[in-house]
Amino acid sequence: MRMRRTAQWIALALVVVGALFVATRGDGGPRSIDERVREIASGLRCVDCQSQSVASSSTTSARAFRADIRRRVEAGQSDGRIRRAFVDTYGEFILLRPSGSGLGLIVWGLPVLVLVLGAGGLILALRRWRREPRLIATDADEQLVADERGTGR
Amino acid sequence: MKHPLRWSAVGVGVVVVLFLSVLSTQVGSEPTYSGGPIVDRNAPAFDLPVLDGNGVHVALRSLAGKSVIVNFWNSWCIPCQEETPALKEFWNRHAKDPDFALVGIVRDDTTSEVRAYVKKHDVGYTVALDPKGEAALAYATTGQPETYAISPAGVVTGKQLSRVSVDNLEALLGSARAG
Amino acid sequence: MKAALGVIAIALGTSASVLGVMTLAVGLARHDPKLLLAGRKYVFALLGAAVLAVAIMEWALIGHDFSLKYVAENNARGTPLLFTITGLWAALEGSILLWTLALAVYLAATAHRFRHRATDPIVAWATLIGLLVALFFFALMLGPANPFRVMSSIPFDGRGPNPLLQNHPLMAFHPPMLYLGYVGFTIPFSFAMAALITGRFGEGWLADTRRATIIAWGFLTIGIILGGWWSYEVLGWGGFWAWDPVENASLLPWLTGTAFIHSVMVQERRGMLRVWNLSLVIATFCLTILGTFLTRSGVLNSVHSFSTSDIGPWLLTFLAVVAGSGIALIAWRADKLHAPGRIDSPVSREAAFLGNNLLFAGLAFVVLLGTVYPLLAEALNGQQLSVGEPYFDAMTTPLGLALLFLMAAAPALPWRAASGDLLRRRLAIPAWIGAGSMVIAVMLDTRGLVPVLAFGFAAFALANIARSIYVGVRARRRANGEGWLRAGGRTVGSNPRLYGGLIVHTGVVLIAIALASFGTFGSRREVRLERGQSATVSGYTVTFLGTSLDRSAQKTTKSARLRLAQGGDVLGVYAPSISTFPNSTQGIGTPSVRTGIREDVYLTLVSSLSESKQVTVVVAVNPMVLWLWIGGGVMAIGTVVALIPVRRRDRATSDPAPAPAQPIELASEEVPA
Repeated sequence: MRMRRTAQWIALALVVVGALFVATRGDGGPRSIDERVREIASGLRCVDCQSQSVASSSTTSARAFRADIRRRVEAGQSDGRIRRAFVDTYGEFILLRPSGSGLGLIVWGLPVLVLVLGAGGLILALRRWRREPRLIATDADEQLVADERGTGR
Repeated sequence: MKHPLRWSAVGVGVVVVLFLSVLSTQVGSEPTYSGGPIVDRNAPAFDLPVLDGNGVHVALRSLAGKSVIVNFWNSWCIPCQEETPALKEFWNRHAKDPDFALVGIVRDDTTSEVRAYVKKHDVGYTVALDPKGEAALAYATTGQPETYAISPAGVVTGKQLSRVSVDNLEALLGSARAG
Repeated sequence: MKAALGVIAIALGTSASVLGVMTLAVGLARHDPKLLLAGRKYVFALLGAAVLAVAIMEWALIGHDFSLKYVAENNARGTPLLFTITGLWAALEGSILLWTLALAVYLAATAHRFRHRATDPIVAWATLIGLLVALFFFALMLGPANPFRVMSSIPFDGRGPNPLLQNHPLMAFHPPMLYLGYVGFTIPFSFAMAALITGRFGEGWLADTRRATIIAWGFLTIGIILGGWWSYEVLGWGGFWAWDPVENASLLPWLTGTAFIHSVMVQERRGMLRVWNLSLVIATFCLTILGTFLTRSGVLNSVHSFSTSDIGPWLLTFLAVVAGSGIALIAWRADKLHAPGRIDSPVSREAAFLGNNLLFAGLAFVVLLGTVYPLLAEALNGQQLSVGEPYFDAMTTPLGLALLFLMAAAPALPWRAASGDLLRRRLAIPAWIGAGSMVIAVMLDTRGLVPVLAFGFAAFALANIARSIYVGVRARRRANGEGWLRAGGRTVGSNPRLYGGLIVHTGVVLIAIALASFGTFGSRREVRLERGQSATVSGYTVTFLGTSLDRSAQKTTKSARLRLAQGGDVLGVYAPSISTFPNSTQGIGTPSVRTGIREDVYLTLVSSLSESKQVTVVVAVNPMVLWLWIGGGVMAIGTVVALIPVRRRDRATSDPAPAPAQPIELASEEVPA
């Protein structure tokens, strides 16, 4: 019985892992130019709109950005090099995904740290509670509670 | 002060105080982007068609050896409309100077609107069209008006990202001549 | 005259709050029930003053009284009636006025609800704190945010509201909902502070504020979703959530509030997490103030910051006082706050709630940090930085997926500890349904870890919700021999909080599925069309028929008529447009959306006003967007269900004491066989 139960959970895990494996294997082939342009553009801030990327905006400047990105992709520049070129012109301001070095450690690292500490604290507390002996209600206690609730048996 | 919770409260309080004091330093300062790091660099090249120039282009290359003021503008932006008289006066002062050029680059506007505006306000200096926004991008503009000063050696010596007065323009020209 | 009347109304409100605070304070100090009874009456005076002030402002708006600066700036003769009325919340001063009215309504409703307990110190303290908050907002209106300033010279016509705010009727509902949500958290906050002051931080204040908290949470949820809908229908960039500072500011209290709604149940059930719950409520209230500060003081750029003013220092000071007093009270009560309690097993309902709280707190932290990081960077080393969608997506997606999984599994977990057998009995079939959905999603060519996990967890959650409801209804049918429908209604009525919660969860699942589909299967193309020319995007053919220009005193609108066809069927003519308003230089694009159950076709006009032979159009096919709004509606229905008063079980004696918190339990299953 117990074996069967375990086997069932293992089978379930295998199915899930299998599905995820196929799902993440990629659909093969390199990314097209359009995909690359959109990917780079969605990481750059549209300079004359608010809180939008160059990919989603239709302003003249966003279109100029996209045309420039396309030209660079077609000229064979790498994604990183294209991003660096825009940072060189506009400064770090242009990146919607702040860099992770220097001060960027705060914005990328701190949440992870807080979550890890929080999860660690929870796990420690759970383990401590587990080791502590549990107060067990005696029959007399149960009777007291039952009397109090007026449902004495 | 012996309870651990009290220490946590003190810790949280310190974090909150730090956070609020950082915020308070930002109150009243407009979060305007001050543009890309373009000053003291070589000016980005441009080569753009002149308004109603029958195919004539204006290129930064051909202006080498001159002190150049580049003004990004368009017909619908209100600060641009407000600075037009200053630009005209500045142009009238220096129009005969062979070592000087003033180029107005249109950012984000249609040719017909610009033509009407130039005619109405009798703009005398070179107006170049940038329909694909290439020059606007190369100069890291984020709006208009934006004004840049370029030295005869082709180095950006100054910029202003708001409405310019004649004095501002003279100062920019001075920096271009000095650099 | 209206200006004078308005200022008098605000002065009345201010004095009512001052007098109320003083009466209650003296009454509490002297233990004088008469004073406490007198003090609570000022709440109704406050409500009267707020209603009066709003009525005067609406009177001025509808009468186009441009002698008032606020009316002159946010109304014009040509403004339609709907947007004249909504002009009340078109700018900062009016928003504060609406905010104050909402607060007065909440305070009066609370005072009415606790009319029989007006002399109870916890109620008196809570009223006092509520009045202090109201005093702050009235003082704002007497000072820097005075809505009744007058013009030195009366203009013939006003400027009219911001174009973005007079474009869609949703604007009539989204801000009031949001304010009702924000303001509502004042009630649990004031009771939490009162509990700390009076030292009665047991479970009483939780039971007292349960309904107010759920009401506030429900309004905030609706407000946020309507905001997304408005953004999608009006802003025209094709999305509904841009991680813009104002959007984040509304999300922050929602995240901590949601955490609170869940963790409350652990305290009700096990008496644990007292400090945590108090902190969450105080934090939620602080975040509503912080959000107002961030979006109304102009420290951050945002699409929604339609007006800024000099109330920044006021809000910051208020925030400091609120946070400081909350922390100080907790520190003061530190030695008494510790509650004995333990969690027996990591596989239990209460442990799942702890996980839920960790994830929600983590999400709130990420969103807060990402929102203020540009400010921090500028203050610390003068660097100008941006934090946008790629950051928030990367950080929140794993947390969101973990929450979706918890939401799927946790409602099936019993309190205290779960045996392996129980887990198998309850979770095996839903888990297989979830895994099966992942396999189907992969077979239907879904690629990527996130969407496949999201679809699987969503199916798992739906199956589990269906199982819970089925088991509950079946048990009732067996016990009472009722029909399915009647048993269903009775089951929900017997534990509205549980079933309301499950309905809210269903709404969340719908939204999760919609988000995953939107992010995975959407397509978007910009096309340039001559008149008569067509382009095909994802099976939809768009043909440019012509343009039309519509001029009125209000605005000039250019629209492009586009015929939309799929296969051979013409679906209709759609007309995305660009409007220019007299008070604004830039054109405002209005998308035209063909809404469908499976997907939307979203058309935006890009090219400028002067061209007519050619247009540039963005054609986007957005899957499942409708389900975001449906999911929001389901969440709202669930919230209402959760608020249904509990039907007393067939008891002979009626219970005069305040209703105890309803246990969340599938009672029929909990009884050991």
